[in-house]
Amino acid sequence: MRALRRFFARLASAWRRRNDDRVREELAEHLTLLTEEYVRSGLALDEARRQARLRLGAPEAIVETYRDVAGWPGPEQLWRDACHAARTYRRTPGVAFVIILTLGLAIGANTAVFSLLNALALRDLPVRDPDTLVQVWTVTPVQGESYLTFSMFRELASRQQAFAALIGAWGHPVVTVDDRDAVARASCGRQPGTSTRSSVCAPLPVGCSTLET
Amino acid sequence: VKLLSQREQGTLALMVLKTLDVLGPLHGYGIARRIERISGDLLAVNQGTLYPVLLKLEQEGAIASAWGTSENNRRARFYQLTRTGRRRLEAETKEWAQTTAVMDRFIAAKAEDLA
Repeated sequence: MRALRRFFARLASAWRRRNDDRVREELAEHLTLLTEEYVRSGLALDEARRQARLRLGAPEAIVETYRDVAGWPGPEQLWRDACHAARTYRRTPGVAFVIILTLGLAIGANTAVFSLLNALALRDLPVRDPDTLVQVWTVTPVQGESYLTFSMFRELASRQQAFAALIGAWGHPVVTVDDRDAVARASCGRQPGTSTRSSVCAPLPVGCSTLET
Repeated sequence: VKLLSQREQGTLALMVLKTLDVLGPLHGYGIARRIERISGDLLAVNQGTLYPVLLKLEQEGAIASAWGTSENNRRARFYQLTRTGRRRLEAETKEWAQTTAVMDRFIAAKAEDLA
């Protein structure tokens, strides 16, 4: 939690311009107060100023440390960290192997899950007008949402005028259809008499489209 | 440029928290003086090294700072303990007590105790 807070504070300060001004002002004020204290204790002003400077330390060195704390370390620091990490790994190859394996598997698994999600949920279907595709099913008071039987589907397909074409599919097949014989082809995969999950395609592109239901 | 070791920095941070807890809001000079006075001359580091420690504590949310007016009417940055800082002070005080207790026992140990 503490480290997280610090991370964001450093991130914010990297956005801002170098905030050296603040520490410089604080150091100047500190020097003044120290000098005044030495004067009160009986030193001459020049000597008091000298002593105060000694007590405070080299301002530039302090500002530099302050800068390191405030923002991100420079590239040379990053390079040193990388070298240090490499040396540590070489010293304990077992641990390094486990770490790299863990990271590799985690990244691999994430990539795999994302590519699947991307293909299935995030991207449109590879047809001409994917947003005109709709799925149709029946809703009855008894059954709630349900599939259509094949005869219901055939009836619907022959009479409807709302859609350019209709295909029916059962299970999760990948169907390739041509909109002219959509019904005939799509009905291939199922057994007559069983219920048919139906997909209704609005202005389906001429030619072939892959449709998964 | 590292002016303080990690351990010294941690110790100084705890001293800062304790000072602010006891005395309320202070500017950097005030904190440095109080710490020196309490620790005697044990703390013989440059007073300026306090400022990076103050900044780090502020980044970690243990203290907060704002510009104010010092006792001689000049602009000074005042530091104040936050609630997070107070919790941290309690936790670290407890840790210190434990560490020193263990170390005391070790240092006081005689040959017959360890046999």
